[in-house]
Amino acid sequence: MTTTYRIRVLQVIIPLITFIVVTRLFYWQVIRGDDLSARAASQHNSVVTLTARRGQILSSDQSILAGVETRFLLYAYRPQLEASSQEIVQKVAPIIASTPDLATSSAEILPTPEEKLAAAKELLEQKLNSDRSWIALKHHLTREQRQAIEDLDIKGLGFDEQIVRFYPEASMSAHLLGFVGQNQQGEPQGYFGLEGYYDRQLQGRGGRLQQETDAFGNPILVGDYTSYSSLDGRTLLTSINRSLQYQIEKLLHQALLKYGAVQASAIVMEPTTGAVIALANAPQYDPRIFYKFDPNLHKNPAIADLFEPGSIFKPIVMAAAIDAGVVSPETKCDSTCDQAVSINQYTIKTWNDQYHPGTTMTEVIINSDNTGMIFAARRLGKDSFLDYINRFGFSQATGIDLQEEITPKQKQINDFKDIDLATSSFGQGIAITRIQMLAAANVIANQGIWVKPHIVQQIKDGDNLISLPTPKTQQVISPETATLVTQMMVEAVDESTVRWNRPEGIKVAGKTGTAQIPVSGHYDEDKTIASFIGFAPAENPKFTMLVTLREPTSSPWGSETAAPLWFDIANLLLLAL
Amino acid sequence: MTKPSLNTILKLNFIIVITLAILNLVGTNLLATQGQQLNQIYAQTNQIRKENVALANDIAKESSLLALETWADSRGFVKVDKPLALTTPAPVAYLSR
Repeated sequence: MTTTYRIRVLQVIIPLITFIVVTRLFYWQVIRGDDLSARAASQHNSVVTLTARRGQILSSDQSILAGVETRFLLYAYRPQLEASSQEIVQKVAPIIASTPDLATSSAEILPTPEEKLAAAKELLEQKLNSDRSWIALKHHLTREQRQAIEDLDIKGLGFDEQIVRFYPEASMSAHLLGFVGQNQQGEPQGYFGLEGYYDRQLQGRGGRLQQETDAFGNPILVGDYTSYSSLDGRTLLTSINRSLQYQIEKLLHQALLKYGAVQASAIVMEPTTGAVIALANAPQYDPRIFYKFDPNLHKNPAIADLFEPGSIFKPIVMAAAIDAGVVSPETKCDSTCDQAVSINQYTIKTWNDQYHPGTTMTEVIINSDNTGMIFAARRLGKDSFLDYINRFGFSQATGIDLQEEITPKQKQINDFKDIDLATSSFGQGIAITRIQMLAAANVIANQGIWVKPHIVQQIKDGDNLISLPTPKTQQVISPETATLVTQMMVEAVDESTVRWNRPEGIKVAGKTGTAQIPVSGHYDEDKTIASFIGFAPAENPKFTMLVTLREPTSSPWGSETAAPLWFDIANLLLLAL
Repeated sequence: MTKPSLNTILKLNFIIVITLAILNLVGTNLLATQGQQLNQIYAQTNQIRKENVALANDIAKESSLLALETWADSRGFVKVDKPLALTTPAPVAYLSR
């Protein structure tokens, strides 16, 4: 082989090898470069998602109404399981069945211990029948339950942490709080009540920690390190008086049984500030296991259900008429009050079909006289009546900080007929929410000023307190009118049968109501909403309160059902406030 | 004072570079192996935080109204039935007028 030949061979081979090496390098570094970089990074870079802790909701005494706690998911990893399914069921089921299921009386759906054990056994048997190698057996176990299962020393069983909402007061204030479920992305989200309204504040912001790690997963301190810290959710400080809320919920639950009612509500607010002290309904649900209850129970009926207020609306209309200067407490009714009032094909009677010719406006309120109210409303006129309806806040939502509040639609002047004016004067044919009714009655208690009802007083972000804007207020009627109507309401209590419930030595301004419920275009004779609205002490009110009972069966009348309940609650309030 | 020769400067620089390289190597080695300790500290902090939350929750549970009511009932506490507002009595001279 000549030298020339060798050189020629080398001239071919060297570029060829160079080409092969360059091509291979191009393949690894350019074509597969991103993929390989990612694989390398995944081996020595760890990314940890830092979850934000959901903010707490606190009562006025800073006690926790809704917090967070760590619970545990029990799982089985089949390749490591040594015990038989039957053995696991026998040993683990009693521990799972010992889950504490505390609930306040108005949301109790507690099974017996035997039922719980049977359900736990059935659940475990069903789960362990699965062919999958990793099986989630039971969510939300407590620390004590985890410890008890770990003590059994069953290989193949393990735990994952779960952060869940914690309710130390069990199901108390469920309608106020709302609940935390999951959105479409599977992330926690607040629904209804404060959880829904303040979801963004409570949620916080998740973070991310990216760092290089060694083969054991320990961070390399001289390696790459990127951190986006998480921000825990903000804490809501509410005006809810925990003790009163608890006792009122209990009284409402007892009232359901005592009066055979379908539903009961009570709202208490501070007259001058609009701060809601308690807002309770019965029946309610348990926010911890909200999915086990009828979804219709999730909405707060005090803000999301419309009702015709009936006679508790009369002081509002009378206040409007007095404020407009068309009547005074001493004004005597004309012939309108002599007998039942006929308007087109309709005949409007008084509640007891008794009539009081020449009755004064104060007596109209005392006797809850429908004809006298028609007289006052006619003097006021349709335009003025609708104007006052707007000013008292019945045409828009109150703006209370609860997610599900609705805005009722009121009739406009073109649709407002004579019969509408007549029936609206005594609270029929007009649909409003309970919170609107309470805010309107509070105008009388608060020197003629409407104040927006609200629950959250302050928001706490770490150690910083964030001030909230001052609640909206509006002068609706003059202070003099408010004083006159207060006196009429005091007499309405003093001169009626409800006075026997009144606490001794305290003046109470109040009004009973018994409203018929519209069903399919007509009023059902047997179904009523019994109610009582009022405030006390009348001369310097500490609270304004509305109590309603839907479809009481022991008696349809507000004076015999809602009023005694109102005074039972008032006794608690007078001791506490 | 004599001016240092180029050779001396080169030697000095070489020693400095070598010393710094050794220090860097030792420092990096020390830091790199402290990751485990850091991990343990993270885990401890996390654990203490969780315990704090758990203890606060235990306090909240023990002081819940449901628990307090059960406790009070078991010790015979009863509710105040009805409040009585006391009014200031009229002066004796006025009453005996």
